[in-house]
Amino acid sequence: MNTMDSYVLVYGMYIGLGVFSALALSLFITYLILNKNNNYGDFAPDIEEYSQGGIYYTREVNNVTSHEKNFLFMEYGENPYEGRQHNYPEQLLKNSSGDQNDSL
Amino acid sequence: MAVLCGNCAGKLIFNPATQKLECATCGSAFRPEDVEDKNAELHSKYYDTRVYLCSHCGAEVVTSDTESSTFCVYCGNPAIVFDRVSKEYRPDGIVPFQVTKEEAVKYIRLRFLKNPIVPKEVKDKCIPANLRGIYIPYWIVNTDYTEADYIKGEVKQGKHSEIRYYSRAGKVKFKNIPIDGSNILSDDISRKLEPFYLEDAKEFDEDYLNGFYSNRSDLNYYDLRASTAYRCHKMFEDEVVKSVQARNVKIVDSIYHVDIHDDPIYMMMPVWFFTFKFEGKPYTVLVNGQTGKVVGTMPWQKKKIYTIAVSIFVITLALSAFCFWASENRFLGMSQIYFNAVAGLIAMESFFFAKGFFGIKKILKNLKLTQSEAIFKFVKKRQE
Repeated sequence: MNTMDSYVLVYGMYIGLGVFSALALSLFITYLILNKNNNYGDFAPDIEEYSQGGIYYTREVNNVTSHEKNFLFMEYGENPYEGRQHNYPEQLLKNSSGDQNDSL
Repeated sequence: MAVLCGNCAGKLIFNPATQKLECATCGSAFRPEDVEDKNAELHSKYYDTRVYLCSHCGAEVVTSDTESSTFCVYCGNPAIVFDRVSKEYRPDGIVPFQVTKEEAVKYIRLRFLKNPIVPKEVKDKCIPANLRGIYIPYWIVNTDYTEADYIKGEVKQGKHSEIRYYSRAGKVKFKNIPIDGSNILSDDISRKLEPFYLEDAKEFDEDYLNGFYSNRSDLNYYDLRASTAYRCHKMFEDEVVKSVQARNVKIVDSIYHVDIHDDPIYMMMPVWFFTFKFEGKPYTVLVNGQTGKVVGTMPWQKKKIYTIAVSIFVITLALSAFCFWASENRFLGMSQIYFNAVAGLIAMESFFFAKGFFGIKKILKNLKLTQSEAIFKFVKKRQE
């Protein structure tokens, strides 16, 4: 590589980095400005808000294999609430279409 | 139907500021619980409403007898016609409006309208006359919930990162989760309106509806179970990733079961809708009628935004070029300072780029939620 080539390479890199820096900063500041028009925020009430005592862990294993994944889903695949009978308001039942015949 | 003033037989309207029914004709004020319902027995299970139909988006707008509808609160179209008088299931409770229309306008103005990129046309439309108060139906549910997750995360091992897998399973008893009972309002939007505080809830009395619109719950049990399971899953997921000591934690697979307890409570929650059109597209900004929380994304002047973005690009590029030149030529003998400035900018550029790119992408997604054409499409889909 001669001196001319290395100059082109170095200055090409400078220009590339300069353009990318300008683009990145421009995007970032535009985002900050537009964000003032946005109020969906990230807030949604978490588990603490609506639960009694948070999660009661029945399994907490680190470093598992994909083989153990199958066992996990076999163990927890069955619905533990199957067969529980409940009363639900008439409105919820009347809104149901006739083709859904699952028991509640 | 309409509740009339005991003194002059004028129509009574609920005033959120005083929490009383007020007569616009003679100025008398009554507490809703003191106004006698002459058809109490008949109304024990149902209450009467007037249903308007929007011929543009197909939405049903339900009002009490004292309010007539002139435009669709969901899509802003004036093509709305009276459809029928309807008997609706009586909710168990109601959280009355506590934020007045004027206060709702003030909150929107404070949150958005000081921003110079908001079009003047939109600012001019933000007046009390363009806001509509709607009681949105919610189901308050208690559940038993079980979930098992297979999780992936990155752990640092010396100079390298290693992918590891984790398993978590657990049970939660959820209490008083509000589930939006109306299919017309996107769950993504209604979730952002929370929290609603049930401490202020009253036993349902249709007098609270006077002067407002309301929506009826069109969910069936299966919809409610699906919405509840999804809601519980999101909360469980957010919590469970915190229990994994790794970076870039992601849930690879999960399985969950929900059991909704007996008799979910049917409640009406207060929301102010500010619907307007800009450049032919409808927008809906919402204000929680209890807390004043504003939810939505305002449109902006595209020309102004492009000008700002291009200007910053050109200025930064010029500054970088100058710093490179100054560093090379030892301008004013301070080459190291120029070099450090450029190096600092370059070091930060990945962060700026990622934050800016994904941030703008998220804002555009939220803008789509605000453009109630999404609600329109959703309603159409439900009608197919």
